[in-house]
Amino acid sequence: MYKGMKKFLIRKILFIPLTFIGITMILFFIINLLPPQTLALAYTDSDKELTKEELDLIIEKYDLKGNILKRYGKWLLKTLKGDLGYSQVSKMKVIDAIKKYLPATIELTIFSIIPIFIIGNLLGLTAARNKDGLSDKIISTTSSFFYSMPSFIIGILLLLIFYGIFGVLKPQRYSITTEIMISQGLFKTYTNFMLIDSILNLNPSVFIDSLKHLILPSLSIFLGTSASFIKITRNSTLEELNKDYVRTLRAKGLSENYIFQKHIRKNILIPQITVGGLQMIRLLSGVVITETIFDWPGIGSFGVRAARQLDVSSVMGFVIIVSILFLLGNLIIDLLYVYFDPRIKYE
Amino acid sequence: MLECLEKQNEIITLKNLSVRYKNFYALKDINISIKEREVIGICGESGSGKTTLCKTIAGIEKYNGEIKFLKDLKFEFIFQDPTSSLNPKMLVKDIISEPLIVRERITKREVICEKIKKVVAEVGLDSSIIEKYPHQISGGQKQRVAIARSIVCEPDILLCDEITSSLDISVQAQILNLLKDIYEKRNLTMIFVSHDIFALYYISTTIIVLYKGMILEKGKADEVIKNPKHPYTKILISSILTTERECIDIEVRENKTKSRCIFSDRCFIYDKECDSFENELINVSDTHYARCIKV
Amino acid sequence: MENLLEIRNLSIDAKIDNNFYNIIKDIDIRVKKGEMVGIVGESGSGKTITSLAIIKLLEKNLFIKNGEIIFEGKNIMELDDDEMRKLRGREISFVFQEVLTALNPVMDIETQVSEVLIHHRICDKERAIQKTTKILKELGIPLDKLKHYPHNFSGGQRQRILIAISLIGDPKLIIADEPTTALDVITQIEILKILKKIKEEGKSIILITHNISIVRNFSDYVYIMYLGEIMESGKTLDVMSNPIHPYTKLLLNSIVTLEKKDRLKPIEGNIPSIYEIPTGCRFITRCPFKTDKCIKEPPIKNKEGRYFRCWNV
Repeated sequence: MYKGMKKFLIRKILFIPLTFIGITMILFFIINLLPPQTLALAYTDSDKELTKEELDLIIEKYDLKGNILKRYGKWLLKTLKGDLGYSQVSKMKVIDAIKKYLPATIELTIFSIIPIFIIGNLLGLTAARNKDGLSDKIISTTSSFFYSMPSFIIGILLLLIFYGIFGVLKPQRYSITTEIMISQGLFKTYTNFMLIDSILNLNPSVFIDSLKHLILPSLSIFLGTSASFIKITRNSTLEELNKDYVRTLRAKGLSENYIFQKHIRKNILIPQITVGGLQMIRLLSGVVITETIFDWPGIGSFGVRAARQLDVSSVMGFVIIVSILFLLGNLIIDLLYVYFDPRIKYE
Repeated sequence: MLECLEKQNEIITLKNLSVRYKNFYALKDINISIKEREVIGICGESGSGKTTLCKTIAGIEKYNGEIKFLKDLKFEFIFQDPTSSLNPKMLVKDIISEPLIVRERITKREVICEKIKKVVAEVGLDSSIIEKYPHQISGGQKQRVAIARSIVCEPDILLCDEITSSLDISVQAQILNLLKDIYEKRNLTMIFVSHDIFALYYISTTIIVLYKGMILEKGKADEVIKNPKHPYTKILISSILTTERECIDIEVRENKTKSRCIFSDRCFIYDKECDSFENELINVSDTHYARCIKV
Repeated sequence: MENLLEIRNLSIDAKIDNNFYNIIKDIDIRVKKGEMVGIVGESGSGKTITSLAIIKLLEKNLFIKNGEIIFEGKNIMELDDDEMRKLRGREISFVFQEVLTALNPVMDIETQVSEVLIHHRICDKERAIQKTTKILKELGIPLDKLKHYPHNFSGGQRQRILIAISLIGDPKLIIADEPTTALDVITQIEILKILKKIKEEGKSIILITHNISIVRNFSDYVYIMYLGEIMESGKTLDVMSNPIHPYTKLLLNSIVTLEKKDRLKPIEGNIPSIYEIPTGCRFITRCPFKTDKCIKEPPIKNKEGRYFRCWNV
């Protein structure tokens, strides 16, 4: 598109691996502040005390001792080849654990972020158009109310109402029936995205079942986090309404609806993308509390479990995946800026 | 204005001055000599480099070339927008006394009060104004406060950058009169920047016409206004629509030129001869110069 | 000849902090077909508010106390929002002075000009683009720049785009509010010439400015406003050569011209703020000819087609 854009893209893409190395190096160094004996304990199952020889074996095997830079280098090479090690907490290769848990988080994120964008946009616009009116007051107060609630309270309340009292919706990702189907091979998890897989398996009941399970956690996320998007929509819209070009539009005889749909909407995209995009990245990193409350097998709960048990490989794997998502997400946001705002030129 | 300027000393000399930003010249080939008690009127529109020139003379802009000062000079600046040049959180008396305290290091209260009183009266304001805030007074009054602040330290040189442009027309003449009074009472040299060439004519001894960073014409005020040599100056003068006569029809052209002449793309007397022009200042008389091949 | 636009006895109040201040008092303005009318005034004169009242785009804190605005026989006060929207852009159009911010920065100019036609259902999209291209070409904006955005254009070009927007609906009346502020001298002349040409094609123009010299050369009839009142009005050439009202006289005298005077003759004093508007003649605070009578509002006098408000002339 623009001349400067190529340079900008190259710079941004180069930035990703550099940041990646920076993040992982720092984490690696911090973790290795612990003595090798403590780190070795993460690789054992048993509660009994290990002898010095047994510990030494583990230290030797998992390369827990020695020059830290050399070990980092070795670890980096292994990682780039795709070998992220073995996850003690999930009893499988780290890379397989990620393949298993990440889709769950992504699915939840997408299912939550779409209502945030669509309904949040609508609510924000309505609030702005009826500034200081009844709908504005209701929308602003309600969204702030939920936003200021600790997220676990929203989750627990929702579970209480819809699961405890009415029993219509359940926690976790799928029902026991589905779980049995999967373990017996009757339902094949091609992508690990339940909604996609149920279409691929041509199984409508699993589709509906997955939906039922998605509703509560995504509703919890929506209530807890949509306020920032609604607010930015509302405030940006109000700002635009005060600008000179809106007066020109009215002088042209354009209707208020047209002005909103065709003009103002475009101008509030940039702040919306910023807030909404960052929101999405945060969700992708795993909404730990929500995943814990709803027993959702996602990347967030995986990371927490790994950290608790000092499972070095899993923690590193978690950090790697989250960093990559973050960096990619920011890159996409930057590209969207350039696409939507013709005034931005990168030199 | 004083006529016997030839005998005066040159106190500031700009030689081959240029100011460059990244990839273009904000000012180029500037040669000006400013004598004591001169009033230099710089006529330029937005983008001509007039503000850059002020900043360079005052020493707050990086430049190439030479600026010579005969002696240590005190500069004062007055800007276009009085609202943004006065601190809205300060009372008028504090605004005016600030240079006395910070620059002159005067600490005696009585001395400060006396100076404030004097200078407020000199700019034609009522003494009650010193207890007010900027937002409580009108635009014309604000500009007078700015002028008061600039003369309270007895400067040698006063730089005025478009000081009447954001004022109402019924007030502009007041400020121009005031400036003339101040000039006559004090030992000042002034540099007055404006896009209004008639205001310059009223107040200046010398007029310099700037366009895209270069001097297109310079000379005594009478010479430049009554006998303009450069086409751009002619346009400026005749296009200023006065109420006394019909607007002289100006032909606005868009020429595709290969000439070095910086004005050739809009000049109404452009022809092939201009392609060979070296874009230098040509003498019309001892004091009058124009950058045009047709002179 | 019937008037295209008639403003009769218009008064507008502003509500600030629960108090009402009378900003515009009893003004009468007439615009004929094919006429360029100038409204001259300084800050606080109310000229912009008057013009916005014509297309009913006043700010929410401004109220029309009384008066009528008649456009082509219809009373604008009685029109509802929909009818008003049909007028705007089509019958009456506006050119704003904030050249740098009056266009939507994230939309290309071809769309911004053509949408007037498309939204008003004057013609279909293809035809609208054709007309847009034609009108922009006439105003000096080349074809290859149509898909560009406002920030790719200079101030003068943006002003021309705004004029194109105001012309494309083929309006009968164009209101131009300070169309040449912030433009350089050469561009000013170009823009004013464009407006003159438009007038010669039969459209009526209201030219609002603080620059009395522009009005002198470009309008047929002029209204001199001060602090919300019309002080004098008449044929431009008459008013300029033979001003009657003290304000007009003093204003013309105070402008710097080629005749170098030893001392300029400014109007003393400052324009009163909205909170200090005098009750009688509004020029009383600065008029050197004031008498005791001036405490009361002077009537509108008529002298051979020239209207003015003064006791003492």
